[in-house]
Amino acid sequence: MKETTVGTARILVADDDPDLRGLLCGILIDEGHKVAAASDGRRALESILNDAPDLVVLDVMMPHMDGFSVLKGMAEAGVSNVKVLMVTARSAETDWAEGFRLGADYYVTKPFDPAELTEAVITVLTSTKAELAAQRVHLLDKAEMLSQLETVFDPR
Amino acid sequence: MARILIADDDADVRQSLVIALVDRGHEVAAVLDGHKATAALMDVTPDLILLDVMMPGKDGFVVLEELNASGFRDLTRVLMLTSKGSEQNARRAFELGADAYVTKPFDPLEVVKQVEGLLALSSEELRISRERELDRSRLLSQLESILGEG
Repeated sequence: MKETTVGTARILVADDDPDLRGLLCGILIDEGHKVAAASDGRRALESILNDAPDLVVLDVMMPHMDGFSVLKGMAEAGVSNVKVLMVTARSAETDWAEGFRLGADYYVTKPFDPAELTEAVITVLTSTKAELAAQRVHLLDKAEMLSQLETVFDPR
Repeated sequence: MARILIADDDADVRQSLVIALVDRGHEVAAVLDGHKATAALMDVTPDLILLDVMMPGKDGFVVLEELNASGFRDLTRVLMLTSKGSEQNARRAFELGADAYVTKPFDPLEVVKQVEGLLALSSEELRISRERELDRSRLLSQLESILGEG
């Protein structure tokens, strides 16, 4: 394997929280990736359609256009070669399942430590879309169960 | 949007620059030492490199010399990061053909301004600004030795 010190992947970080955006970018940069950022969903989608990165680290809750809408926009535009790692809040147990249904490949929940993020990024980048899809089926089963549990315990 | 490479071994410096640059819409990558800086310059030919002078392995001056010799020099603008109060370093940077330099500690937003100013120059404007900076740095470096600082 060729030792690449830089340019392992081109990653777009989409998050409206400047602290978290900085943290994500800092971690990914030090892993040797090329990183760009967007502070809302609309800009993220623009950037993806303009110059597709290898991976988008996509926050769900963002102004103007949330992460789900970005996924829908990507699907509508026929973007299929960009991997998506969703960043979801732990309190919203089933957000990631919704993300999966809309085409996300993997997810991490906030708060996460840098090692967790790094591991998730490596998993996404080293797996094929098909491998990630197979994993998703399994995780979606789990999500279905969680979602049922949520309705039972927290009926709204 | 420009592609920018940061070469600095100081994590705090890297972090502050990364945040300021990505928030202006630039694509940023970083390396932690001089060996990797040279490799990355040839590999990704960024629009601009923020190149620290003092780095482990290979210092920023050596990286700049290697860039000069590589045939890729014209593809990348070079902004060197030097420690405060070392006019000798600034002079050496310009003599080796750096395009600009900033002294640490710096305000990341000021650096971003300088980066964008540098990227906006035509190659002719860049040549003129480099000559002017070289003259200025020679003068300052002479002053520094007269005043016995550094």
